[in-house]
Amino acid sequence: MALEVGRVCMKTAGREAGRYCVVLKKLDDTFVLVTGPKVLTGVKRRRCNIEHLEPTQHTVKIKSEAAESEVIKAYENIGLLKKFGLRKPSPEVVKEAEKKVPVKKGEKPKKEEKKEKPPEKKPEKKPKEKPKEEKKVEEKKPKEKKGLTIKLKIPSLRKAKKPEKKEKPKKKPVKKKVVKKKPKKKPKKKK
Amino acid sequence: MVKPRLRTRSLKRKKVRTPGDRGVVHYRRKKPSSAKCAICKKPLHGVPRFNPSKIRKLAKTKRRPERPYGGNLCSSCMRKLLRKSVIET
Repeated sequence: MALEVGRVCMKTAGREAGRYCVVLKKLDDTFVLVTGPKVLTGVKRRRCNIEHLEPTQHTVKIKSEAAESEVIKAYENIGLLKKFGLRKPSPEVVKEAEKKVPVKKGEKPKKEEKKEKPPEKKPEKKPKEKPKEEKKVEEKKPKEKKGLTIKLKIPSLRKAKKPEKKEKPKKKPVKKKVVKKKPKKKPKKKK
Repeated sequence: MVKPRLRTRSLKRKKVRTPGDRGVVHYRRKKPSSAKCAICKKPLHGVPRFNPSKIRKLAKTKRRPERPYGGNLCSSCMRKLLRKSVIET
């Protein structure tokens, strides 16, 4: 069975193994964008290797890169929730989850950024970085470069998480400044 | 004569040369055997080889891999199981 958009799969590797997810987009020959959604099945919206997915018979009607709530509706329409024994999360929970997942629309987050200066810089970086990564994935087809692509992506995923908690990003710039000052002092003492 | 409590075979003997150039036998607890996959019998990764009293002090995430059947099956056997379950349903 082919891995098209909307195919329901089971993850067979890692901590999310044994959980169901839906294919949202084809990124590459080897990689695919996938969600559970996390609120429903526990599979985070993430890039996934095709070899780590086992396709099922079921397909769900969604557009490529659909939002979490749309995916849950599509599950309901076919009656997959009962088959898999999944509990439908409350709409409030789904809304919160959708806020955390930066959907690729770059316009809405930017407006918020202009009002407040400190959180501006980090959220701006996210939308810029993400499309770059996707392009890189498309460009680098040969298997040899896999290691390089993975290294680039992992830090970006971490950056994407940070803005959820507002306290962390404020601390980090402070730390960097402190680190810069120290090396300046040391050489003076030596002289 | 050895102390009676050291005469059991459940202890392991190790010959040690002391700084005074004297041969001495040290008695040690035996290490438990490594955990193995229930299907293919290969030794499992990520399962520590401590005595149970030490294992109890570890965090749960450090006792076994965090995936279904973690600590019982190796990853490849688990994948085969999951693939089968998908095909049957």
